[in-house]
Amino acid sequence: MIEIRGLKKHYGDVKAVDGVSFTCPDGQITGLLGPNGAGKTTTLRMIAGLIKPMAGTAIVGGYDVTHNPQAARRVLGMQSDMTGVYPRLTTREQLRYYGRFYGLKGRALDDRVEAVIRELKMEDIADRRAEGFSRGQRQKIVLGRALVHDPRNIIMDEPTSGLDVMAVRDTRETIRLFRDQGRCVLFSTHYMDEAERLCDQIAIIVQGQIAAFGAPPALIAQAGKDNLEDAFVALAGREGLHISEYARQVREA
Amino acid sequence: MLSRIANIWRKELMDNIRDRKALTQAILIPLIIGVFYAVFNPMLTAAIIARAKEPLTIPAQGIEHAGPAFLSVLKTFAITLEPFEGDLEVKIRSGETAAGLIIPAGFSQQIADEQSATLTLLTNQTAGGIFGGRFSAERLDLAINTYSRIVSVARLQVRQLDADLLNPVTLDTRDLATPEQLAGVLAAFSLPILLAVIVVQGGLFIAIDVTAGEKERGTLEALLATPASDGEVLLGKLAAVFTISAIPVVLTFIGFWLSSNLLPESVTEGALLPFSVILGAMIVGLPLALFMSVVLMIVSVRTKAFKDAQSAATPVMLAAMVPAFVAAFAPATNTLSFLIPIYGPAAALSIMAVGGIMPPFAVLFSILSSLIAAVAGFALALRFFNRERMLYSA
Repeated sequence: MIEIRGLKKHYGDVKAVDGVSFTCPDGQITGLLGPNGAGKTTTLRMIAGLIKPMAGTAIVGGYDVTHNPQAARRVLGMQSDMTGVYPRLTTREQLRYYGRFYGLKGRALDDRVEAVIRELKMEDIADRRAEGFSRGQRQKIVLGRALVHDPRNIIMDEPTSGLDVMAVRDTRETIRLFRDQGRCVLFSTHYMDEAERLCDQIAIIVQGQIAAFGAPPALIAQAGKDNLEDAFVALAGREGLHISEYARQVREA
Repeated sequence: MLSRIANIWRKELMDNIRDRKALTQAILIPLIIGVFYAVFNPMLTAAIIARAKEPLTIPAQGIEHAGPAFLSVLKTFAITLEPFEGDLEVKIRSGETAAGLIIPAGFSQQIADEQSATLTLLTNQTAGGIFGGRFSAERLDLAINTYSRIVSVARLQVRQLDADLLNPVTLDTRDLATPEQLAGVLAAFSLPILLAVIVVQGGLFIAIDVTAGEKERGTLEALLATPASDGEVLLGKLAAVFTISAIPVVLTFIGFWLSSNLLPESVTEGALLPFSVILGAMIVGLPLALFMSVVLMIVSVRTKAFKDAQSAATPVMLAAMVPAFVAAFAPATNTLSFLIPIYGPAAALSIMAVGGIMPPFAVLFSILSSLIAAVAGFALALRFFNRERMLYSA
């Protein structure tokens, strides 16, 4: 489970994240939905301990990211929006490299790497050096290294961005698989259909604040619209932020 | 903690060893430089010795005024005068010839009349390279002084005076330099500079690759999202940079020693560097390689891309060579000066090369200078290794 408690990060006058709070339970997919520059990536980076919050914290698997970042990172897998890989290492070598950071070694490491290769269908690229890999292949490595230690909590930053149709389908299936395995999944996206199809609950973030939070049908009903896209526009607009019931509740809390 | 550091170290080594360009930069280039120095060093020494013995032909005007005794003395110095028609000054000023001699009319008569005669030696020190004008002038000067002394002795003898009147003080000069020391004359200059070049060149590429390169590839964020702390990440990377830097230090100096030993004795004239100098170079060189690895990391960590880091790291080479040059030209005069980073190890190596007497604790101090600077530098690098700024600053 990931609990986000009043996370705040300002860059000068820009309020990138301004008091964000919500909870992502195990066995559910939580979507972080918002326009570009809304604060999705900054929120995820603070959860991963890559950016230090000005205020608030995140509790990942029971570990406070601010006070015990190494323990929190041990139970967290992060798929970043940076799809960089090591071009001179094979897929397997990259997964082994990341696995060792989590104390995996010997047979346990080999077995886990093999399982990830199977799970993400990477058999054909497992022993090839990553030089010249497509974006989809690189994305698989990025996801694989986030999973190699079998974390209960997974955060993904726009995991389907820039992928072709087949790769998008694969990635969405994988995300569903994570939920079925009982993991806590938090991912950011700006694709409405993706959020509606995948998410058990959605946090709409606008100008660094949560404008609305709930299951997709509940958000649609709250906005009085027919679909999530219209609901998003209604809730995420400037007026939507101020009339947001969720924002009011958080402010009062 | 150690396993995470070792993990990064192992991966960075494997990654860089697979990169042909990195390997060339790190190992092959320093090795070539070392072998070049090794070949150049004894060859230059041998060439200087050989040049001093080679017959020398000097263009001269007024040879007919010289007299057989004068020419005979020159012959003992393997100097032959060659008649020259035209403007000798123009010829020498143009650099076509390094030196020339003008013998005035009546030279022999003046000598015979027990008068003082004047010869004019024209030289151009820039002509003929390092074996040119200066060498010719020095040999002619020596020969003419010898002739002058012979004439003086003859004049005293005519007056039944003791020739020792001309020698109130006799200087008995004996060159006690061993062949190893002779070899060390140039090594004392070249080895400290070679060391400075290798320790920077060896680690340059990998230091940039593991910092700015990782950032540019977009893999740093994932690495920092693992449980590895900033210190562990930096230590693992530093260990890899140091390892790659250390390999050329060892290989280059062994290559230096091997190459100079493989040259024929006709070239080296028996002047060879003992292995102890090479061992000494490694003892003071490896801690220096550690310090320079830290310096390269500090520079690279602060940059955003590979090219930025390359530009920023280039002055490091110059910064390392300046103290090494100073050490080569100005040997250390007190023990504490060996505590100066880069200068200390270079000065110690310079003394080792000529088999000089090392001040007490000089080697220890020169090693300490590198280690203390490396620790201080690492603390600074860690301070600069701010994950948020490293990853996301514009």
